[in-house]
Amino acid sequence: MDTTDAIVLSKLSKRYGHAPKLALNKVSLKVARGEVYGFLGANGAGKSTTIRTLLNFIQPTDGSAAILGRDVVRDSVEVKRHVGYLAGEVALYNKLTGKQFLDYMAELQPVKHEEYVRELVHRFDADLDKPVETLSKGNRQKIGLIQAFMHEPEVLILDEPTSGLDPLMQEVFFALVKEARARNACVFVSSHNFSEVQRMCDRIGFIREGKLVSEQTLAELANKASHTFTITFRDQAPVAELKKLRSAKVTPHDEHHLMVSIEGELTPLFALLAQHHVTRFEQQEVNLEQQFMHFYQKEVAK
Amino acid sequence: MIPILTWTLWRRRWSIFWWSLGVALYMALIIAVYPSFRNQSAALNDSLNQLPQTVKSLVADTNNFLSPVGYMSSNAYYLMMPIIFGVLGIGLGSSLLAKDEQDHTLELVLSRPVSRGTVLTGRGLAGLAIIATVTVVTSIVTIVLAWLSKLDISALRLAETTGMAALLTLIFASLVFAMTAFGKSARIMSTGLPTLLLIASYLFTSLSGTVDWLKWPSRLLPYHYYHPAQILTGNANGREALGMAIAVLFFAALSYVGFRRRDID
Repeated sequence: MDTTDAIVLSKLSKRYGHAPKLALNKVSLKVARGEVYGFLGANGAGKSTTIRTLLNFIQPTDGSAAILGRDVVRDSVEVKRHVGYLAGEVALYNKLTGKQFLDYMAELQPVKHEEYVRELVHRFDADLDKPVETLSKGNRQKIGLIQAFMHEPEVLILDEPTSGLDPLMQEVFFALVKEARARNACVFVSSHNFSEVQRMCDRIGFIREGKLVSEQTLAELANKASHTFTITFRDQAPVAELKKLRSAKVTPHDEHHLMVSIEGELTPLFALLAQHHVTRFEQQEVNLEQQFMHFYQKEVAK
Repeated sequence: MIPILTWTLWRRRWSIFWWSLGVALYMALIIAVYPSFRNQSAALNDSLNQLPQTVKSLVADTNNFLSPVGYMSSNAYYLMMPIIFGVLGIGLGSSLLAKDEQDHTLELVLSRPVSRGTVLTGRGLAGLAIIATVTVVTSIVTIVLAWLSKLDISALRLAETTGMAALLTLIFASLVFAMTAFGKSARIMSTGLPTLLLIASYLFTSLSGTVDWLKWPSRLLPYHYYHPAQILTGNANGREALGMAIAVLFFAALSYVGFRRRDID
């Protein structure tokens, strides 16, 4: 089984019962092998519906979805041989210990390398000897992540994967995603946490009210994002000239200091600054989340 | 399917143990007190026969209450055993699939490369194995105690009657299982409706001897084909057992139809 695209959604739609609105409305997207795709959206936007359709938990009303070239409904069992899944709300069998639970999952889907499972347990520092019901949310999440990664799947579908993890364990998770990408696995991550997505994804899709409203690579997004600089001039700050630049927003602090935010191409700004004596130039951190939300709101307004 | 079956049984091992112990203890209690009644059976039987036929028909399917067969039928098999097995069966039927779906643990299993049919079969067979275990334990305890108490009923007949009681309740268990397989809307009624049906089935059948208009509807209900006293006297009706088994298979097939393509809640 070898296709370039690991996940393909073609006009995928889902209506729950007789609900007046579609939970998914003709969503089309492609995710390549070796790509980490972030699926962003607010609660109820359709992220989990998309994932549940991919896993064949729910049936599409219209359109289709394929994983590694196979239809997720017709070839569901074959598809799942290559998929690792983590649910948004990790639900495990409470009375089983972590070890018993992982043994059960391994019986249903044999692991390729036992030592890899041991490595995952070690890296997550997971406690497998206690019944799941006695574990904290973070520790249950670790077991959920181990069961998703342990058979080294070619496609990982993860719903809110870092929920409940402490920063140290989040780092372990990010490293695992990086390793999965390195072995050409596709990772489809649903989240409403932008910084998490920003940290690991190659490409981002934004879903709102069941519609995919935007898809961009992180680089494209960064290019579109406004850059903010704090600039100090030896002489009087050229506020009027800066304001003439396209998409520039200028906030003077005093006679010599100002802050300028500018979207897209920066060459005109630097050309203008070259004509003045700049004594200090600082770039503010790019806040993609803010920019993305700004962009998203514009899309909605259209 | 085997991992689903074995893990389901393993997760319910204590429940199986306590159910087996509970039902066995009930049978032990019933049989242990029989010798006290046996010596006065003629006098007691005369008194019991003074009761109205309607009352008698609610207790047993025989008029000879204190013969070994009448005693076992009236105190164990006719009413209590279907109730006890019914609670077990309906409880199992409503939880084998539905509880995991409500807890969202079903998704974990379905995210693995197993078909829905496999999950359904594994869970259904686990339920069957649990009921079979309790039935076998109950049969063994009953046979041993009946032998010790010199209860004049053969081991085979006791085993057949216990098995028939289990088969009767399997119908209701499989009905519940099928309803949960159809999803949330059917699941809401999945415990209440079969329980109501079990009670109605018992009442209609018991009273159909004295209330004429109940004769016809009672024929549509499973209890009508359950005659413990008849089996205990060696007149088991294989066709009735086969009919019950077919009903169980029908509901099992219905479960598959319901579960095959529906949305998981």
